[in-house]
Amino acid sequence: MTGSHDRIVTVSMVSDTLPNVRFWVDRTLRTGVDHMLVFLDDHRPDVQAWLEQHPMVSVVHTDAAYWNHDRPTPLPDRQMVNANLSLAALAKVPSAGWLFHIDVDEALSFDRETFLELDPRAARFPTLEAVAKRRWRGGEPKYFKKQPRPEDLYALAGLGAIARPDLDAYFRGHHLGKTGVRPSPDVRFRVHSVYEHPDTKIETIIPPDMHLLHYASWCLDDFVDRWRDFRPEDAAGRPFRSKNIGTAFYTLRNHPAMSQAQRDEAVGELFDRNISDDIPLLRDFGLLVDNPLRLDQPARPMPREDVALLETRLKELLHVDKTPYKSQLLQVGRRTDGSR
Amino acid sequence: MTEGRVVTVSTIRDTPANVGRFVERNLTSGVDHMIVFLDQQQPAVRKMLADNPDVSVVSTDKGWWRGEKPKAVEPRQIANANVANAILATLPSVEWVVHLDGDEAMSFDRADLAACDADVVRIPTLEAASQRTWRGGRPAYFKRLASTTQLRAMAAYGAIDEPTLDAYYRGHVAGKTAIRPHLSHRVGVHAAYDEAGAKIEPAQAGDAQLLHYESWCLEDFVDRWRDFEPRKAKRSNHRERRKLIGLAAYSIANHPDLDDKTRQRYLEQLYDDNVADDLRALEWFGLLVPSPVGEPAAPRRIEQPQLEEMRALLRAMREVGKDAFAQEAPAGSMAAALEQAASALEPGHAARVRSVVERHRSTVAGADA
Repeated sequence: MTGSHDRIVTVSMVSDTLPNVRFWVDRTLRTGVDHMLVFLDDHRPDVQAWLEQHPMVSVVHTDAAYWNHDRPTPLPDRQMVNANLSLAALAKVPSAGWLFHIDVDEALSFDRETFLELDPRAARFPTLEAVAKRRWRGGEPKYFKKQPRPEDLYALAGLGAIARPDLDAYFRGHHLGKTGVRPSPDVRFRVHSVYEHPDTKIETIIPPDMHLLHYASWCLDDFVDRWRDFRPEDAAGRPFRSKNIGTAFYTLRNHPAMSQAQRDEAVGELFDRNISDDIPLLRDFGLLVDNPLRLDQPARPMPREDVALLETRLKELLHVDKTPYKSQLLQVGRRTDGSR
Repeated sequence: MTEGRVVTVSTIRDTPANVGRFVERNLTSGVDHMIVFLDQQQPAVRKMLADNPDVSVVSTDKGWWRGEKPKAVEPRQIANANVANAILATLPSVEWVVHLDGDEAMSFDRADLAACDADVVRIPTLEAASQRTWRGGRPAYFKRLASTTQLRAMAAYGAIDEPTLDAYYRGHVAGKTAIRPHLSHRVGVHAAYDEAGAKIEPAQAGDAQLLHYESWCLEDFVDRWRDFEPRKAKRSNHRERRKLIGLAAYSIANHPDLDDKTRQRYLEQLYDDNVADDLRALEWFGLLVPSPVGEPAAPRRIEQPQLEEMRALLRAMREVGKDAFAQEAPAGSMAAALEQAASALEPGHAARVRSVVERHRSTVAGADA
């Protein structure tokens, strides 16, 4: 199939407000990403309308019909089906070069030109996590946290900066990064890696200086946004730490005996105690990098016929049986810590 | 006649300064002689100890282990302690052998031990209270073992993280034992066993105590853990909590991104948060005791012929496999190994050693009949 095969495409599942989605789309399309596939996880007509009119976004509303009335309950399962469907949809689009699965609180940090010269089949961008502070001037975190070495984790745990000397205590979110891959109907995503259906490893490079930026709870406002809709009764299946923070947040935010000012103060305290990073300590141990986000790589629109082809393909796949697009979980022995 | 000598045996790897303190603490406590097995090439320590007439030093290099060096340190300690036990069983003037670590010292009354006719005596632990520095370079206080009630009180007060001995004591709580050197006794780390492997119940002998100095001050804490790299941590049998603190100290002490001032600040913080004791709380809850270190007692030298024979046997043991001295070695193996070592001795000495072996075998045969 001839074609440029050089457009960087992302796929995401979204359930967020219009202002947040607009901010995220506008930013993503300045980081080197050329086109975005957005699967709406719930009914948001305003978000859908805005996305539908955007020339560099293709949107799918995943309603009950999409799921053939058998919607997977775990969020990662729905994400993977959408991402794998996207691989099939993009496989015959001539300009589609790469597909990355990212979340709304993630951004790719990379040099597009350098990346396109590398030409592997798959590439993993390791995580850099935004340093958390109540407020960052300028609306972006100034620093991100690097992957620590084991010795760093021991030191940080001994000094009380993290609860345990492991990556789950150091990072608020995942630490394995995300993998981008050349779209093909035989390829499948797992959350952090890719494989060839049914279960063949795909050789994956880790390009230097290219990262997945993870923003989760990078400031107090984002923390509040993230937990605003959490209900303790929906916590089953969440990681332990996440469950506890969510429950504490819900309790404080809805406390009947506290004024709004007191609730806000308590939530701020919760953030300080559980989320805020010790910046001087991280700096002393060489674990900070300046924010590497590049916003000087505007999207290169796909040819119109390619967008049309993509959206036709998406329509064809809208109501197919989704079973073939589910991801195989890695067998236990082959999993790295924290992976799915 | 030189009788009732108390000899310690240790397998150590440490700085000359720390080893010097270890030897001084014990040779002024009532201990008469120290056998020190060096666990690695330590030329400076070896020279310092070789110059001391009350210390016999052995380098446990590849030749000592005859190509079968145990990977973990504890089996090496036990084997060396039993080598010493077997050798001391041939010296009439030595009545007690105590297996000590390099950060331990005896505190006891010679008369109490001399009056005791048990084969094994219990020596419970007193742990040095830890402060950044102590005036005079010695801890003024020690911590006695705490009861459950005291642990709960300390935890509720916030002086320890949880009401457990593990959170209260940095080191072991098992104490040590003084053992009569004998071919049917096997020395363990904390206890003594007969040749069938059954623990020999220890008696009490006055106020004998084991003073445990681990991390008694900031400098000792840093010294101890500075080289505790993760590879060593995997092999060590330290408790998990202690391992993590050790790894944190190692990481900070060796971190390439820290300048000296920052490194020191973090080491102090690590120490203050995890090691330093709350003396006031210890006192309130009845756990603090003034240091029991009394007036120095000069060692009673082992007389020259016997001392030279002991050292000759230590040298001869280089040609003997150390499996015979492992905790799980079969009955009779120490006697056989001693007999093998005797073949390298001068005839008179060899005959005396063989006679000890024969007496032991007759006793065993008589007991089995």
